[in-house]
Amino acid sequence: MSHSETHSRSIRIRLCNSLNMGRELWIEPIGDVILIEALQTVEIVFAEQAGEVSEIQISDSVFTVHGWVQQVLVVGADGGKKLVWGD
Amino acid sequence: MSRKGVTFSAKGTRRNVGSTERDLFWEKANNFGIDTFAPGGYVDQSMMYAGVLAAAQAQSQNVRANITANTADMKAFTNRTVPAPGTATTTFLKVVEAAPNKVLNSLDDVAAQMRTNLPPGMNPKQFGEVLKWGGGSQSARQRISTLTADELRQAGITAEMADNWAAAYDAVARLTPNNPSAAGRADLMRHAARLLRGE
Repeated sequence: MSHSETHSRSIRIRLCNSLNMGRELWIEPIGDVILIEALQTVEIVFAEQAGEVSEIQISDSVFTVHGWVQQVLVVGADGGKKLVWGD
Repeated sequence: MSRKGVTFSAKGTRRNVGSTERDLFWEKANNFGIDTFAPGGYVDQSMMYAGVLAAAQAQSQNVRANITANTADMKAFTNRTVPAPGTATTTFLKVVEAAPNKVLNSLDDVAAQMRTNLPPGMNPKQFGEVLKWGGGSQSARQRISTLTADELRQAGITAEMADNWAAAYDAVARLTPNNPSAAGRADLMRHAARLLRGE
C-alpha cells in the first residue's frame, strides 16, 4: 500500500483572474463565495484523501471549486500571501 | 462484553480530533474492547470509526488483535459494506447511527462530517448535483418543493446522511454567518431527511 493511499495530503492550486473585472469564487460544498479582484491571484488549499479529486469549474464570471477547501489566500505581487477564507 | 486487548493505532494521519470526538471515540472503544491507543496517534473521524469497527470484528471472532487503521478499514466503514449481520459489527453500526450529534467547531469538522456522509462512490460535486441546491439559500429553499424521496434513494442518500448534512450546514451558518448558502441548504437537507423517513 503506497503512502498516498494511507494519508491525507494538502493540495495547493493557484488561480489567476486575468480579466479586468472581479470574478466570484464559489467554494463547494460549503456553499460560500468570495470575490477575486481583477488581475488577482489566489492560492486554494485543499485536503484530499485517497481517491479524492478536487475540481475547478470556470465560467465567464464565476470560478467554482469542488473539494475539501481549507484555505484561500490572496497572493500579492511580492509573493506574500494573505488569508482571505478559512481557518 | 469483555475486553480482548485490542490496540488501535493510527499514526501520522491528517489531524488530531477535537475533545468531543475523542470522548465519543472512547465511549465506543470501551464498548468494543479497545484498551490501548497508540501514543502520538492522530486520527480523523472515519479512521476512529474504522478502528472501532475493526475491534468489533476482532471481538466477534473472540480473538486478540493489534489493529492498525488503513485504507481498507476506512473504506469498509465509509462504504458500509462490512458483512456479519448479528455480530458486534451490526451492533457497532447501530450505535454509531444512534450517536448524538457531534459539536462541529471548525470547518475541518464540517468537512469531515460531510465527507463521511456521502453515498459510496459519490464525491461532493455529484452530491450537489443530486440535490440541485444551486448557489445561495433562496435557491436551496426553492428546491424543497421539487425534491423527491425517490431521487434521493436512487442516489443512495439515507435519512441519516441527510440529517448529518443538515447539521453540517447548521454549523457552517454558525461558524461563518456571512455564508450565503448554508442556512437554506440546512433547511433543504432537513426536508430531505423527513422525505426519506416518510414524514
